[in-house]
Amino acid sequence: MRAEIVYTPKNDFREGKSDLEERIKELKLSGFDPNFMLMFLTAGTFKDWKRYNELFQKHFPDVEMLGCVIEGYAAGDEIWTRGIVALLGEFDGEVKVYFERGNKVEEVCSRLGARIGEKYDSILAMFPAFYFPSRLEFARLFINDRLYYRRYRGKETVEEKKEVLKEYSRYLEDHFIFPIDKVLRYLSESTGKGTPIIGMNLMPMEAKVGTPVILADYKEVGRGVAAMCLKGKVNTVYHDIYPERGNSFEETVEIINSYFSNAEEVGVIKAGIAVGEINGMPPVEFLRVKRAAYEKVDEERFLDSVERGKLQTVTPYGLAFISKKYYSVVLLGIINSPVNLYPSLISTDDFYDRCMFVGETFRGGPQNFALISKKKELSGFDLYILDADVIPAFGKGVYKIIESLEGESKRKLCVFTMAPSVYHPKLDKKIFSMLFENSFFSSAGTNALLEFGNSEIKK
Amino acid sequence: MLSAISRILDTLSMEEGVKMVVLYRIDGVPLFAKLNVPKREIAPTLYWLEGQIKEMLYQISTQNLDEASFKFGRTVIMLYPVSRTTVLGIMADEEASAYKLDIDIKTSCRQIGKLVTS
Repeated sequence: MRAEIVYTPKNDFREGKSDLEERIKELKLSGFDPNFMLMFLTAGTFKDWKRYNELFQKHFPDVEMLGCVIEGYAAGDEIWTRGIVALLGEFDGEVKVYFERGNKVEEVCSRLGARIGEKYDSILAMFPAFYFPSRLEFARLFINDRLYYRRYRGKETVEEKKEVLKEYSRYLEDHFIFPIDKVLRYLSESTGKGTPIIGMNLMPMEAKVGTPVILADYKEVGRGVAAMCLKGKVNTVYHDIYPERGNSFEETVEIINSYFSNAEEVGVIKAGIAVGEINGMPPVEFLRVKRAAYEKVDEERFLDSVERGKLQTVTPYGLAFISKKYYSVVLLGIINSPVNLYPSLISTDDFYDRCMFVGETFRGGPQNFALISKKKELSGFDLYILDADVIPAFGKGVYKIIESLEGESKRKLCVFTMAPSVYHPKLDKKIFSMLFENSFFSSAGTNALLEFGNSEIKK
Repeated sequence: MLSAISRILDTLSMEEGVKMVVLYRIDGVPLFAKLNVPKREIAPTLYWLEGQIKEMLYQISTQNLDEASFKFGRTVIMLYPVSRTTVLGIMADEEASAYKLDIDIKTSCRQIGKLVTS
């Protein structure tokens, strides 16, 4: 497969356009005729997505196109968190983009899966893990949070409290969150459980109203799921940076204690995608008690940050949920925000009510993220989807990841985005970050790789 | 080479929150400067900081530092060595995304480094 990267680090549309057009002209003169395109905007260019969309549509009207906003990318030996990058490919097999819009995750994924069918070898899905709607919708969220929290506090038993959380979860699902586990579950079930899926579950690091933007065939998807489906020489790889999980609750707790800094066992009340309390306190209040550096954020300040695109959605503290069935672990970051009932990006019902409060640690340094390349099976072109947490964690040390990938991957594009999720029917069962059978995710420390193979097979 | 350096600094200076980008000679003489705000807005600050910046450049040179930064009011000054004789200085608002800026600066340093050492 011939793949070409087109990019510009310039945020200004006019300047960026000239760089892109120059490169596109070169490619066309060389006889390059792609059949798919992945377009990645960054925080600096996402405001101009319509213009970039038109630009690429003008030059490549017939390609299967998928696009979204990411935190940064590495193209060649350069890493940028600005500008725009597009991967264009002449894929030897079949490639097709599908998308479905809607607010109900089950309906959207089942409809999408039914259209995709069972014939593909790999699916790259993009969806908003958390959608940041208008200021008004957020104001409603705060009102609902207070109303549900009042009801929650009025309940005496844990079961009654969980009922309130379940109800609140339905509200969150309908307006803000596509639970990552549900997307993987419904999509994998409706595509016959045989096709690996990479989930780009998007949540911008610096959230802004209207983000994340997802584009499919040059159309804005909004709330919904878009998928690029590939049939041919492709391979899906998943890697997390953690040790193997334990064989019991106690064993996994021991692994967490030895891996993470300042880990502390806590009791939570949770149901659906909402966490009501940690050790008897609202989750954000618990965070502030444990880490005095966090000041109380009022709603007005929070909304201002969202409007200005300055709301930080990265946090070094969170909960490590332990699975009741697999003793695997899924991390959920706790962001200092003006809510009482804390929203989760995954359904929490299959996890113990005893969990761990942990501080982020990436043992092994940035190179540990590059170990994904050791699991490669094809030689050709590689698309790495790397956890964007490495940017705040390592800063310019991110270069070490790219340098470490160099040995195994000569031709590649790396994109930094929220830690990806993966459904894979044939993966090692001892993976730490297992959501449910064959599905993997954690809000930090996960990476995915989509390999496009040439005719020659490496292993 | 000069126009290539100028283009790299231009790209960096247009980052949201960046006020100024300067390529210094290690003895403190500015070789290139790109401003993203009116001159009069940062001239007094720069004048006041001249001594501190020169001292930091000296420390970078003698202590072989990878980077040096300090905060002045709501402004952050970051200095990154590009080659043995040049240092890239960035003046940014404290609200600028520091960790993302860090990566873009590193990329710019590598690009300028290739130009000045080739």
